[in-house]
Amino acid sequence: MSSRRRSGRVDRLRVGPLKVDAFTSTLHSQRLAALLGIALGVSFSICFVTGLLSDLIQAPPAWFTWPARPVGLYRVTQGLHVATGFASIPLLLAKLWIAYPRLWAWPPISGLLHLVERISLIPLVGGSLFLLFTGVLNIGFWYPWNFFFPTGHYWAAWITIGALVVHVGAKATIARSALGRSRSLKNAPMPGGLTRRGFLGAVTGAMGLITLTTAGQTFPPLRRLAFLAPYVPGVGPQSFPVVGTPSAETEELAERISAYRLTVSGAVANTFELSLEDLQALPQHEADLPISCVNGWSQTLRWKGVRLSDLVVMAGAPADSSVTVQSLQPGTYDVSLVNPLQLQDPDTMLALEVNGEPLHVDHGFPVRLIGPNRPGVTNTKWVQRVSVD
Amino acid sequence: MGAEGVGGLTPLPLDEDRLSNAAEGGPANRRLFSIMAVLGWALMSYGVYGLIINAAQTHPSSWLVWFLGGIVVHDFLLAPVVIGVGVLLSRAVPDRYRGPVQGALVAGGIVALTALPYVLGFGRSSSNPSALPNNYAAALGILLVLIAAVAAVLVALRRNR
Repeated sequence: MSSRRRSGRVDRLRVGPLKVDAFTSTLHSQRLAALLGIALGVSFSICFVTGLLSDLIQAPPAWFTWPARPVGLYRVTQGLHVATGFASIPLLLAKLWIAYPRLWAWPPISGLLHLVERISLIPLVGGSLFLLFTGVLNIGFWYPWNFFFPTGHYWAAWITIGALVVHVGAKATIARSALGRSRSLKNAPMPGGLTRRGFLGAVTGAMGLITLTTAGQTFPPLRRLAFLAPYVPGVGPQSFPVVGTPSAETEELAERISAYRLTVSGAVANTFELSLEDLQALPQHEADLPISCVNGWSQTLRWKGVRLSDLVVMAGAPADSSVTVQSLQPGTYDVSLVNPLQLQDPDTMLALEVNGEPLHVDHGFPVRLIGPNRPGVTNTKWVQRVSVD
Repeated sequence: MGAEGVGGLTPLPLDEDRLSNAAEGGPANRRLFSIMAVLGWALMSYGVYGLIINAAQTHPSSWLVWFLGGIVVHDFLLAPVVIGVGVLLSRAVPDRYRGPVQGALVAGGIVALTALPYVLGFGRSSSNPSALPNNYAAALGILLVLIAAVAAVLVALRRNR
């Protein structure tokens, strides 16, 4: 009697989206949820692995050495990271729509495991939206938040992927049975409006349009369609994009450049300094190398300059050393590491020219580091010091 | 999108595949779930640990606002708006033509949301003209016209059938 009264009271709370049959669209389907869930599982895994790799390359722990070859490997992994992130946007929005009635499930909790399952949806949904949203804004140079994007995005990825593991554990069985249902149920008649196939078609279409209009930032055959890409290869000073610009005090920078000296120091037999003319008088090396930006764009250019290993050997240090290259502009990305594999690569150089012209100041005049298979952000601009570790 | 709340207009099909807000018993395979939950929460704990020890860079309070903000905006703003549009469509557009219209709104809405940060262009800076060099509003406009054209063709095909 009292329990009936209690359930009556609780049922009175079933208003609005909590009402029985509040969600009548037949698009809310377990089968669609399973299909979109698998697609998202794959796309988020690709983003997670390529993202971790990019972090390892930029801040390598002792056990990790990133090779100099193949030249375009980072171009592929980071291009994939950004392109897969873009393609995940339609998948995620569609998946959240399909599963939306479950937000209003009644009763909200039925037991401890169900509680764990539902609590884990907070980091899953919050993290997924966070990663895609911050990723899209970051490559568009818009920072309405206080955290440092790479760090905030990185740790959010661990949280999201953990929540995804919990979710797969909760839904694997039901997803498998939903995908195994008979065809008659898959093609259940609709009460009018968009069919499930039509819905998937619209979502896939959105994915296709987004990919076609952004992937040209790294995939040359699509370059002319890169209408929505925040950077476009071929556009910028000397026909390629700039990400890190000289800091506001350009006059101060110009002053420092006029008195330019490159210092080679550290664990060397003889420390020395070179002027720009000295550098130009050294043997010059040329190579076609891509700039592969962490933001997902890439472009191959012809570089000319002094081999980094030549300078290290001139200073009396072994050619298989590790080297730190430092910029004259202080900032977040003012130093980068060159590991022995990269130092020994003949194409790793301090570039003085690009496509036959001296570097534009936005591209690092007088001297910038460039090498095969390196994230763009580690190709330090305005190099003033090479330090052998 | 789907015609929520107007099920009375047309009889609903019996469909065990439908996702509803009905009660569910929790994870179907309790053993699998328990293993994955332990693993998943270990990964999440590592993420939270990293977030906290790097507080100087992650600014956890700002981070949390954006982390939870997405849920609030999606679940209590975007999804209800989409439902509202779906209900309006179910009243305004005949069943026969509604599919293409809904499909165009789904595709167009997703593309517009994705392009919005670049259309707004807050990331533009006078010191770097190579960032956001395109006319993103025009690009989005062209894509939306393209989507609308596909929907119009589908509607025309249905009318002639």
